[in-house]
Amino acid sequence: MAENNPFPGENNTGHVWDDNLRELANPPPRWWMLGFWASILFVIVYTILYPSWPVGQQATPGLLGWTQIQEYEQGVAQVDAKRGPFEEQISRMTAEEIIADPGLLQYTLASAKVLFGDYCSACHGSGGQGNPGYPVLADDDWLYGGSLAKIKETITNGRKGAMTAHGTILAPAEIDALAHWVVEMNEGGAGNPQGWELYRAKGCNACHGEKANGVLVELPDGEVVSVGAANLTDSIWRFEPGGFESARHTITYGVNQPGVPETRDAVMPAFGSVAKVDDVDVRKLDDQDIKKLGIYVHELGGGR
Amino acid sequence: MHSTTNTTETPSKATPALRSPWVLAWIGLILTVLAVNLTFVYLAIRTDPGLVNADYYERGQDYERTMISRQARDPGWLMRADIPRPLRAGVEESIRVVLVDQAGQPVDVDQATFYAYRPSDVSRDFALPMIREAKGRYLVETSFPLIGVWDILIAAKTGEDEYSVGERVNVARP
Repeated sequence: MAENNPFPGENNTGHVWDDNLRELANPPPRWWMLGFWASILFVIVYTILYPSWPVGQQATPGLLGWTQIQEYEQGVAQVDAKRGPFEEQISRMTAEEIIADPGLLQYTLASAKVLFGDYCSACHGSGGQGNPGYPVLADDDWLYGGSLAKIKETITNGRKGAMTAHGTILAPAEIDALAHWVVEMNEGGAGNPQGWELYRAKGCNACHGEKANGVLVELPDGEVVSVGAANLTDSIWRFEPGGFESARHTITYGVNQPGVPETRDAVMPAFGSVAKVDDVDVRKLDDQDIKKLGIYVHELGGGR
Repeated sequence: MHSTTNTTETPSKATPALRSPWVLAWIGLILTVLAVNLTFVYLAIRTDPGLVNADYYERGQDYERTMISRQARDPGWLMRADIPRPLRAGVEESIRVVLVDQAGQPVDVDQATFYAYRPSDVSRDFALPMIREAKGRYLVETSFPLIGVWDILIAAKTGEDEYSVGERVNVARP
């Protein structure tokens, strides 16, 4: 082709189509070439400075010694450094003192919100609003007490409700009468006298209290003694959806009764306990986290 | 005698209508409105989710019978969804549903499914199976890809029967 080039000396490649359509060997524009060499130079410099070439199991380390994990650790260290003073304050202050300090309280609530999401919200709801079968934490109705000390005790040691299955102890008519009486009080009534009589005669008051409000003893400082039995005089159901069927079920099969398959399941795990994970003792939550969570739950709206 | 004042008015040449900025502006305005309308018409046709039920007419005829049989079969379960707020686009959240029977005992279902419907764009709808976490408690961990309104529907299926709970949520900027 080149020897019979019809356009000699023209800087063409010798490829000619249709008599005069030809390919020229023009160089790329200068700006393009500059960019091309600059990008090659960049790659060379980059691979010298940063980890790049895979050699065996590792990549070349690079002169700067930069690693991704190191950058992550530095980020974590920065966050920890910011949190440090707050965490240190929380560790040496009591829960009551923390609540009295608005700035520290704000930090504690923000920090505990994450813990609450990880450890509590599965049962008690993302906002402490409860779920059917799991108590609401955002109201002022407490089974075991809503003071900071009681909440801490609950989180640390867990709770396990207990109620005898009365199906074999009481006659069906008696169970029905008690269930109706409970529904009546739940709907705002005072409870019929026969119901009250049966309630006391069958010993329900031993756990639910003389006034059926779940309180056994009221202490002079406002604290109450209870065994976790529900308040039967308010409109809150411990086991939703509530109503006659539900009340009858609870009376008949009880709560956490071994050997009774239909019994109510009402167990909160102990978050201060040690659990074995792969033969290593792991504590679910440390004292600091329990303190923060206690304050969070207390501040959800119903703390006393 | 020559007149010193010239009172003859030279007639100014009329601007052609299509050169007048006023006419052009008004035409532009009308064209803009029409273009926006056409865009919306196009989007409405393009992203129309269509009829949800194909046999809507037959179902309508059987409405009363369907309602009565559904009421007769209704086991009185309580199904409650826990959708954390605020939801933020692209941020993963745990969404749970808890099911209990009439007596308040947790019940398991054959399958629980989480549906997210984007009212304005059917191509963005998605569905995920929910994982059983405990008896009667199901979990899905997901995030919403876009800000704005989403319709959440959680459906629990057991045998032939399906129970559902729905909620419209507003997803905020991350």
